[in-house]
Amino acid sequence: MPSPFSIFSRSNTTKQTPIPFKDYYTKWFNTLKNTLLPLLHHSLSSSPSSPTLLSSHLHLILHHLLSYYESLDLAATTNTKNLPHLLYPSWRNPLETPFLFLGDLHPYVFTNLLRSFLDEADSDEDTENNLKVLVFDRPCQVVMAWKDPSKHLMIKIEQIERGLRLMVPALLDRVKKAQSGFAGKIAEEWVNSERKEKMDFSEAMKAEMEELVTVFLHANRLRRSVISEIVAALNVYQGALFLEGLAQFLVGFQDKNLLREFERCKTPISERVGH
Amino acid sequence: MKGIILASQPLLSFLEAKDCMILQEEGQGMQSKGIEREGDNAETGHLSERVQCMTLHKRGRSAKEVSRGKYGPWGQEQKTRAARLEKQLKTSRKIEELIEEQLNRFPSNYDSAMFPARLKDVPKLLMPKWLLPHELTTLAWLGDWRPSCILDLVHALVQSSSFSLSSSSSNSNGVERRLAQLTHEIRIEEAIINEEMAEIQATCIIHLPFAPVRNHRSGATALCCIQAEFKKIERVITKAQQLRFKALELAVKKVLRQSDAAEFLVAFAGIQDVIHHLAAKQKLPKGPAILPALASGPA
Repeated sequence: MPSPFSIFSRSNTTKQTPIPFKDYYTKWFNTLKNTLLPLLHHSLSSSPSSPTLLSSHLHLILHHLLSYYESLDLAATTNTKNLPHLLYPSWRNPLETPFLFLGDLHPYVFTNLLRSFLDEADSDEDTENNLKVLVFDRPCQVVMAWKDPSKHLMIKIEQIERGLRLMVPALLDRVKKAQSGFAGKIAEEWVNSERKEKMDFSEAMKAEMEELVTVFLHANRLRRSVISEIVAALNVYQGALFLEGLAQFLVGFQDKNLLREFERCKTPISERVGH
Repeated sequence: MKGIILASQPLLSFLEAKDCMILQEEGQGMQSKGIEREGDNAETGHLSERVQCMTLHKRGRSAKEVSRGKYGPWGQEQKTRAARLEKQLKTSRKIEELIEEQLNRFPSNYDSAMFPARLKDVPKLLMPKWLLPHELTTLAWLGDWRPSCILDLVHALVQSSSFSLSSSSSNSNGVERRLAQLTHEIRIEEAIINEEMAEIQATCIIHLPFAPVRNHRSGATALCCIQAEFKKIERVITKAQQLRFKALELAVKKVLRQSDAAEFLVAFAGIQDVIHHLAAKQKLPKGPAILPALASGPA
């Protein structure tokens, strides 16, 4: 599906020119923030609502979010040596990096976002008045989207969460094993080497990087599939609200005023009491 | 581990200067075992020769000591041994001091570099400047060496029979058992810290001020919410740091014998150094990462 909002057009006639990932990310982020999110926002607020339009905007933003993971994969597979940059991305700001898990959002973030919508709707049962005050500017279908979620949806969420509980620790375990294997090989080499300063761990390092690339690809596949599965299990209003929330969250990290406050904050966050 | 690299030099030069680790036997086993092994070692032999000369020379001066000649070669030998043992004891104490010094330098370096931490320091704790990108990727866990990997190194070195005493004696079983036990405990604690970090990363979409669904602490300012989350992360990083040090300290003080501990610390510092140089040699792609332009086209 060709998209009018894609910054990079698919052109078969011109030769592809590689661009720095940082530039790609900036463009990707700006498209999300300045084009796709306002579109979705608009179609969620317009009354009477048009499910068709909403659905098309929902799919645009979904593809855009998923395409980021494809780009990460491509960068990792094109050159294994990109991996350190992808795991510790300099294009994400210091407010964001501590929350990254294997280079991007933790897969639980997506299920927790979904849960937070459902929990909010649930806790609002008793405070109907607040709800009306907060979201009166949106059509009824949107306001009531999370009320009485279907049994099918609840089963699906639990199924996704169960999958994550198995797969996330497995990913961490593979990272641990890869690092541990590397440490073991170095120690072996250290013992067997007569001239320590001439030791060469390049092969061991290369092998570990290859394994870590695979883990990184799996993490991205997991994130991609969780987002897709959640959206597939939701109706168009829920799906649009979910993706709007996710996009807003990503945009929130780049809030310039907040970042400035963050950078300037001098209050120590830790009090050392010694070991 | 920054501190280890910095502190390794005195210990390394000490070990290189005197290959006298072999006599590091505690208490009762010392006399017989130590001297037996010493026979194979040319340098130590030389050392004992010097000690012997010194003793004989002294003896020559004192009439009282000359009278001891009646004890014959046996007495003389005993005295020589005692002198050598005394020297070894001093060496042993010196090594102990150096080990202690090296261990202590590690947390103090870390503290002075990092505390008191401000908000913007937290990402730097996770990605410290002294670790190159390839080191971060291949070895780091919450900003530095993974504690269980440090123990993996110890294990590999113990297994390799590079350590002077632990591998050949019946005590090697004891070392391996203690190491296995320590590794088991450290892995559990590592897993708990992993869980804590995962919890923070997984729930940031609920707690950060720009969370799509407003949380109920609506009174707090945006910066306060961020501080609260970063404080949690900083606590996890500190725990990780303490665990790393605990693994190192227990391996050195409770698992390995003094001589092996010293050898391990030297090996650890050397290994870090070699990895650092290897990481520095890795050519990173120009720009963070390169991507063919059409990648972002919708699937």
